[in-house]
Amino acid sequence: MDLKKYIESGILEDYVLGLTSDTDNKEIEQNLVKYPKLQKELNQIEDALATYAQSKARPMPEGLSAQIMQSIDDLATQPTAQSDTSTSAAKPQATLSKGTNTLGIFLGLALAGALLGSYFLNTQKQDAQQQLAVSQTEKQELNDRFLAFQLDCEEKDGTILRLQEQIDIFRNPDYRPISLKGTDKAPNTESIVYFNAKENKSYFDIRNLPTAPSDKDYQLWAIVGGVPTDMGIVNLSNGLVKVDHIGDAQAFAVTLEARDGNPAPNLDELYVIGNV
Amino acid sequence: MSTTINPDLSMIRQLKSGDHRAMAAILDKYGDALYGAIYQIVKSDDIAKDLMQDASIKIWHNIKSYDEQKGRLFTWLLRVCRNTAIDKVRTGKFKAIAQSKTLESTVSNSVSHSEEMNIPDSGLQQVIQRLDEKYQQVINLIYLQGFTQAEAAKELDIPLGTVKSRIKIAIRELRAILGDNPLLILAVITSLLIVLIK
Repeated sequence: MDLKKYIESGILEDYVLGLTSDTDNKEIEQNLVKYPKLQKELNQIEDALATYAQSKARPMPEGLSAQIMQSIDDLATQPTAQSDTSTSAAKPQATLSKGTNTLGIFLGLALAGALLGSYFLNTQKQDAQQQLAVSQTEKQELNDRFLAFQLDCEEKDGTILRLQEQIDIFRNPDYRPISLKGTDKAPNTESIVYFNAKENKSYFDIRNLPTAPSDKDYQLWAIVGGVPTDMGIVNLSNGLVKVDHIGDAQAFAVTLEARDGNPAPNLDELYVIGNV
Repeated sequence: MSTTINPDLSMIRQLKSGDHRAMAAILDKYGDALYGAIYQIVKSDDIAKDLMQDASIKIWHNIKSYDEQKGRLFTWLLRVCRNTAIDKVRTGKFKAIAQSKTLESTVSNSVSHSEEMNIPDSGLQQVIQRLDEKYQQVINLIYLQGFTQAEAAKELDIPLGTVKSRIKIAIRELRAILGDNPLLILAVITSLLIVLIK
């Protein structure tokens, strides 16, 4: 495996942030065990983020720490308290074996009956407890599935909203499509900025630019008074995306830059450009 | 910062063997940071207190499922706390309140909050302040509050691609800022001294 590429893909950052899927997590965790270099990298990401979290700390309210420790102590002592009662309950039975023959037999039978009864009741209670535990697990599972379903729905809602938004853009005459034509680097290509001066909104569709090498990203620029202004990274996979609206832009351009972009464009790598 | 030696190893071992003192040590070392994350999600000390208690009990019960090879203890602890708080926020009643909160109040909350708090680590805060606000926003939402990238894009009203690139730049910058910083070393020494004096 190309570790450098793997690290650069940003998957470890996503893993720490909890953005990776369960399947990804399994694979990442296997790789972490296999490659110490990955673990070192992971730890550095984690340490940086942990320091960030420390900088955003909020002092716990007074007494909270003690309160937490108290409940943990209580939890830890509970099981021993239960076993104490069960041993003390067994004691009185031993004293009952004395007495006259008939009374002894009678009492013995009665005791046997009582023990049998309590055994029966106890088994029933245990069954009921087990059933309760099972239904609680089932409830938890259903709850988890419901949450997952809810998230799924929210995601789908998001997709529908995005599609609706796109349709609105295409149908709205206030959006003026500005064509960015391919340079010699990428002849016969075209990207489009949808420019809405009325509502101060812009969208960008990268369309058919060639796939960027894995160590590079396309970056969008607005030219204002001859000076390029960074409008962020644009990926082929994103389709139509909302971008900052730069009202006084005279032109828009896309260049191929180092991964995650650069503060100023590399004009040798100009791919498309178009005037407003 | 660049070491792979786990600084929490003895604490983890103690905790896994059921030693209560390790839990107190965790609260001492990370409690305020974890509480800060929970507070950012629920925006109420009353609720955050209960959730911190719930999360601590989960930590105590589930510490055996934490695997050192899968990452730092703090990442795991934060995940437990974040999930506990998010579960609470997702309950119907809470959701209505949470949804009415705008990002503005989130940001102003966290700003006014850091002013009102007496954090001994003001040196550390100063260092982190060097990270541009727009990068702090994505890290706050995703790392501390457990937003998905799509949710963060919606909340900040920026394209998803921008969220993704900001995350990467933010972590890269953070590592660069923290990598070799005299102010930070000073901050760490100060906090160590404070712990010792206590």
